[in-house]
Amino acid sequence: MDTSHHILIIDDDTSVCWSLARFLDEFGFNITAVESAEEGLLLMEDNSFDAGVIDLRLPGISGDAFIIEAHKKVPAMRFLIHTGSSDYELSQELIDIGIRKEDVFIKPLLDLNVIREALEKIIAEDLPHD
Amino acid sequence: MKPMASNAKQSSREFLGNFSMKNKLMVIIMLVSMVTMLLASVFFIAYQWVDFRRRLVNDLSTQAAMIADNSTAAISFNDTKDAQGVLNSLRAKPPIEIACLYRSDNSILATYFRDTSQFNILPTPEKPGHHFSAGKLVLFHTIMMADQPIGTVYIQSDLSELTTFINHSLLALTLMTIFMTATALIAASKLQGAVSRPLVHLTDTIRQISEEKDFSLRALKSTQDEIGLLTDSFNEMLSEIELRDTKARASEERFRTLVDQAADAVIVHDMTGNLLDVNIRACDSLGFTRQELLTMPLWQIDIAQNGQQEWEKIWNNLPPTHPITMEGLHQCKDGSTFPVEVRLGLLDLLGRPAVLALARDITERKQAELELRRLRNLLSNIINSMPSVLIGVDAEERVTHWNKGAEEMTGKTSDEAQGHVLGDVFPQLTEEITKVKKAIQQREIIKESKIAHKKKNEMYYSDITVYPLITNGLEGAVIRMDDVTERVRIEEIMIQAEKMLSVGGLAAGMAHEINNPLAGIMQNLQVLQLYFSGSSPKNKQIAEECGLSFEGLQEYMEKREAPKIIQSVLECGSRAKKIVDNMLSFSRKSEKGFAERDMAKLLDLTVELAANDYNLKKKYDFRQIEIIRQYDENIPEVFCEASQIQQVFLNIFKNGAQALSEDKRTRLIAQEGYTPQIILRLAIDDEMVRIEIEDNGPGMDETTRKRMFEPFFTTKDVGVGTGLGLSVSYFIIAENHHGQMEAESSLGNGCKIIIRLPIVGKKNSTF
Repeated sequence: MDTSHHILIIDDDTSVCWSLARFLDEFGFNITAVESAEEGLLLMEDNSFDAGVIDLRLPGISGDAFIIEAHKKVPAMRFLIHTGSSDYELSQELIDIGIRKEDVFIKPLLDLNVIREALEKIIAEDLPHD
Repeated sequence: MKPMASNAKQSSREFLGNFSMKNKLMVIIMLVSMVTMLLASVFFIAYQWVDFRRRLVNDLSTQAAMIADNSTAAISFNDTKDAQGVLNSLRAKPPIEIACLYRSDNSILATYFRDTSQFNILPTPEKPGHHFSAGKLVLFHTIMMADQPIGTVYIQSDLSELTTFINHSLLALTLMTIFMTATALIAASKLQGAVSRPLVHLTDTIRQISEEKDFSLRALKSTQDEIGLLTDSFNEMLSEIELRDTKARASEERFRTLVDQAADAVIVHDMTGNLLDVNIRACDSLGFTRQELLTMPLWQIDIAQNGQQEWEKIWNNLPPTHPITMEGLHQCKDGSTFPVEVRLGLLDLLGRPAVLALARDITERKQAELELRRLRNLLSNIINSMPSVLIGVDAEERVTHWNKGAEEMTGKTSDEAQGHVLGDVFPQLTEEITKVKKAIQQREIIKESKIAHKKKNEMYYSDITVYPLITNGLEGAVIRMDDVTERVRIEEIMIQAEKMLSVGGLAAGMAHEINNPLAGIMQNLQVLQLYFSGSSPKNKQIAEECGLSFEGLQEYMEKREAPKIIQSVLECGSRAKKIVDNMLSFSRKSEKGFAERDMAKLLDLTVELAANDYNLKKKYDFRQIEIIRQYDENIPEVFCEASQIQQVFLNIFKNGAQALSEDKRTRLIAQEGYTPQIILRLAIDDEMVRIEIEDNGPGMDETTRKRMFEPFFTTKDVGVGTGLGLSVSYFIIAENHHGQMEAESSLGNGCKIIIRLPIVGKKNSTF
């Protein structure tokens, strides 16, 4: 499983965070799950992630801010947004770094496979801006 | 003969009648004196004549007797000579023409002839006596002797003495008559003056008065007799007349002045319209002179009636006791006209019926009336133009005013309402009557807001204000009623919207909090599913590590129906998610932005929502309705507020479902194979997306269709619907989305709601 893609999951809800990690893990993804953006950023110092599944409402640094920050560090890293805010709309900054509407997932997902498929898709894609 | 005599008498009277008084007196005096004279003379002459004849006979008889005495002897002795001598003595008596002495045997003894040349035949002696014949007096005298007739004397005398006497008498008489006449004439001419002069003076005065009409003249009184009395009386009468005349003239002058100065034109005319008199006012107002007017017929002055005949009809029907009033139109000399009010009355003018017309110029009054009417119209227009119901009532709550608003509100016209008690004509106000009474009694304005009335299925709200009339002596009140239904409805809509927004806001906050644990549940369950159902190497490996065969484990799980349990929990979670989603769709937060939305998705989402709507499900099961989708391809997304549009769709679905379920009950009995349907269509219509939601329910009549978007209009039972659903929907489409919403329906033909939403929305929308 070393060749598997490395995915960073950030969600402050332990249950959500943990279950998503277990689910994706089952499909061969290399998952690292943390409950805050700060932890995520710290991890990024030593690890390289292919993609991240990021909650937006986080204690401390918000999900948006983390994505922007992470993108600065690793422009190749791709992101999916997984949020409980059903009225969420993408900010221009996020759109500018290539995040699209279909990259946003509103909790709760009746079928987590949509995230799995989306992850597989964005990882397979050529980076549009590289 | 008699008529002739009377004619003569008459002619003589006429003849006299033509004489002046003076001449008449003269003639009378002269005639009287002359007749008197003549009569006296005739009597006198006749008497003299008779007397003369008697004396003549006496003389002759004496003469005869003398001759007889003297001749006795001669006869006795038959002495002719002596006898002749006796007879010759007669020569002294010239009138005796013939004398003769007869013997007793009638033979002539002697004869005497005055004129010897004249012989006459002597008569035979007759009996003694005398007689007149042929201007002669003949006398026979018997000569007696010793009482024995011895002879006869015959004497014939002429009457020259008598003739002379008569001639003399006549002459004297004529002379006397002439003298007497002259004397009488002089006396009469002197005397008649005394009688006739005052009379002539009187008549002269009368003539002068009658000629000059000067009753101030007086006759001079010169005698104290009847004429004097007459003069006095006459003068007195003159004074009387003068006084009366002066009075009458003054009175007439006063009357004329009054009539002329009268404000009304006075026109007197006969029954055929010929003018008999007019006053100055009539002349002035018409511009004609009096003389001109008096030659004109009335119908040329008053042209209100069509000619003479029309007028005569009016005149002939005038009541004899009192005048009538009518309106006329006077035409002036210059052709201009002015309206008049005419009082027509019958008049007795010296025994002939006439019409007295008093005409008053009513131009100003007409103008005032016009102005008044205009003002009244304006006022009633103002009052009627007001949307308010305005009702005036008196102290007994009887209607005195009733404007258009009141007519529309009650369906009763002003005429129908006038005079009726308010409660009878406006039952809705029955409860307000005590307030009207109170307002009148206490003279204070009473206001009541949002009084609700129900009319059929609709609620009406009114603000009612009762204004007491404060003018003295005019008790009553004005009731103003304003239909504030619209305002109340808007208020209700706003309250409702506000309510929904605050619920929405709450929901949004809650939703996020619920979504996270819900995500935890769902995700963990999915992990569990992966662990139990998947045949991944990892599952097998871990099972084996635990000394279990994965297949055995799976069999156990199947037998315990664990996957079903998990699925069930997942479904519960799914439902919870939907509830949260839908709650959020009504929240402000979700309304924050307009976005490009796929109408098909929104429709489907709403169908799902309707199917799961608990309230809806309780009454009409949406899932029994067949949903047919007829979506055109390539429908562009619509820039809209999804939750609002969903709300609209949901409202329409609810109404449709209600209609279909009601319809189902009735149709299932009548007809088999009926499936309630809702057809959803999407199409491009011009620059808009056209969304049709059509049901095959009972449809609705025109009245309902027209009113279905009105707030609070509901056909549902009380408590079932707010009557707001479709109106809010309409508001959302028309106001918030600049779209259109309409309905097509008729009874028995279902209902089709058509919504058009602009494809290019307004991104700067305030919503």
